[in-house]
Amino acid sequence: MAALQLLVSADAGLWNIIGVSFAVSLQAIVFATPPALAIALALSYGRFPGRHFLIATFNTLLSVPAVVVGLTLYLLLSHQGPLGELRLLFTQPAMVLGQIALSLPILVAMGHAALQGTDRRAWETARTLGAGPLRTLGVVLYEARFGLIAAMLAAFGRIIAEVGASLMLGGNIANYTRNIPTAIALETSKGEFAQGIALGLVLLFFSFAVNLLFHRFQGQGQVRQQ
Amino acid sequence: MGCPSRFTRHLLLSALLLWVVPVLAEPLRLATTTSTVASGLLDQILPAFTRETGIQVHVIAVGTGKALRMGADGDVDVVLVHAPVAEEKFVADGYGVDRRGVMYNEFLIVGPASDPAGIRGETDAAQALVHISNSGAGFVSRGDDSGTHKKELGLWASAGVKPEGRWYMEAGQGMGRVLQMAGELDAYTLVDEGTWIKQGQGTRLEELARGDARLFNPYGIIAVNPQLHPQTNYADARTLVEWMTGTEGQRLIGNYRLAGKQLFTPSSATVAGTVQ
Amino acid sequence: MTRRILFHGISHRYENTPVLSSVNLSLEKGKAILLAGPNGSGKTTLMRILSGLMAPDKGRVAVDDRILTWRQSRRLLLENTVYLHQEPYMFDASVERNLSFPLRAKNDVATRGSVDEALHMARLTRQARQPAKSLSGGERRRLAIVRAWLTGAGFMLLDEPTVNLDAAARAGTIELMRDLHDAGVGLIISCHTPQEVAAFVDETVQLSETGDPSPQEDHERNARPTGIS
Repeated sequence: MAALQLLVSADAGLWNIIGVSFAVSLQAIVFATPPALAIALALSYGRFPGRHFLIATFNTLLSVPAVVVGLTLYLLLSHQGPLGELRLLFTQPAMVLGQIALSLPILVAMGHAALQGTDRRAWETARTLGAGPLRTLGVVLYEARFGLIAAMLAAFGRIIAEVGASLMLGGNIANYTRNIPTAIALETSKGEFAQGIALGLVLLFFSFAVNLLFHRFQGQGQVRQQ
Repeated sequence: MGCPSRFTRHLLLSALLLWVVPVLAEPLRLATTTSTVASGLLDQILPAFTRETGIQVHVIAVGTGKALRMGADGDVDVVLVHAPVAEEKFVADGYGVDRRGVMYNEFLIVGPASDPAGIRGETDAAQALVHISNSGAGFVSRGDDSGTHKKELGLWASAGVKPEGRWYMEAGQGMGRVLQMAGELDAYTLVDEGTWIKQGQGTRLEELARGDARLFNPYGIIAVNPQLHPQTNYADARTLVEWMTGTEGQRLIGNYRLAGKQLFTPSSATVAGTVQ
Repeated sequence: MTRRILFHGISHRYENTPVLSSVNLSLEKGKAILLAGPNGSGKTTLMRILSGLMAPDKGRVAVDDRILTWRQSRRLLLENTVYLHQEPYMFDASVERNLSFPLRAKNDVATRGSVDEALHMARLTRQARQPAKSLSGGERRRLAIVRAWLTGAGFMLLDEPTVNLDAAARAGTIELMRDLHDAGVGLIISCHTPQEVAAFVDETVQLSETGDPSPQEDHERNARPTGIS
């Protein structure tokens, strides 16, 4: 009820908040995916000492609370910390960094699982048919695409909804670093519960839209023949 | 039959007692602001209250708006905030009864040591804000409808300035965080004395303007209306209100020190020259 | 165009068990070699090595009489040979795209003409747009063979090409292999029912411990390597 009113009223402040949410989270996914993919490939196909340790580490990082990630980066970026010179605190780039840190473990863990699940024959067939290493990589990624896209959606879901890192690193500054979750935190602290719920529904609505969009790339989600 | 069964019975009984007893001896629920809790005052004086009356107090620290909302919903028994206008509305709307002044202190304007707006020593708070808005230096606002925020907005209104632009940052967070942010961004902010004394040290900020009568920061305690919410613990709430505004409570408030400084002045006119 | 690849002393262990011991093999254009031996005798491992997909623990390669280490020869092997899995892998795409993969991989233009010709050869014209993964076993096999042929490689390694097929599909596959042989492609076929392909096989290499001498039409016999039975 209040949620629909919010959207329909086309309140400029609301659209700004939505914009910040998506700008930050989309940037984070875009920057986090290539390194995560590289790590997942290394974990799947590489043979190096400490591989198992690395896999275990990423799986453990899945459980790190967002606020801990936020706090750790805060200490690094604060004027007392080693990276204080960059003056990144309370800016959108700082929020993006926090969300990259949050999404990396999910992308690596699920990306690794997706690649492990790919048939080894895929890359062998591509190589033996004359494809170079780059094209073969493309083939493998294509064959693993469902799992990889699922990884990206899962990571996006986590970061679009997180408040711990965004609040610590962004500072919830109106029209700049205020995204939907931090706005909800604010409304709640003011006792404006209805506003908070409304914002939450707005978030769900847009997330749903993003998921639907990717669903088209994913195919219909049925079990497919091997 | 035998040891295991007896042990189990004892275990169950203890579990029952642990769970039931607290429920039977219902605690008093007090909602107050994060800055009040952060000052450490309640940690100091509430144990004395419990010793004297046997009443346990559960303190819930939230934003001013939420504290009053919780009182209005009957989720707590008594509220302690520092937002006089909102408090009066709370009582006028019938949510609370018998508001009493408990203590007061001041707000101050703090900022970077370099003081780009040149407000050091300024005693007119509104003028100070005008200087800040003209200098383009940053100002971090609470932006959360708290007592502090409302005080700040009132000052901007007196100054005839509408603060907007990139230099005016509405953070929508608690006092401690806003203070930290101002420190990191080398910006100005309005802060209550309690939080400043408690958390000001680590921030690189300095006290720049104070003394304006408009920076007066009074705290009020209000019991939740039992007619509206019969399930609340009105009797114990009354006891706390009386105690906080009574001789002993006021004395303890006046004696509370942080870093050697007195944080709050008790409101009660009968307690003059408090030092013990 | 590579005419001859000589493998010498190919040895490989898998988790401390010897799988191949000093296998010598000579691949030549137009020659069909049968790799015979029971399951587990290392046939698949050998084929993987011969195609450049896997590195042996020990071994040397001579491509057109030029001696190289395996590392040096890897690229040449990948370019000049094609390995077909026992269960050929279909990419997650249409039959057409699967067939035209080798052309696109080399950045050749996959003209409509060449794709149609390939479809015709594989007898899959009707199924051109269907997902390749929906094909039957025999159809997949045909697709894989024609797809491999489209790489233009001189040598094809077929791992158990007739296994798990019904009689008609088996006959069709054997005929395709015969056509390839006649066209001058070097074939290396592993099969544990050798009588099916005996008709066009030029040489047999036996991989087993007991090592029965196998019927040979040609050449000096190669050393009998040990393997797991």
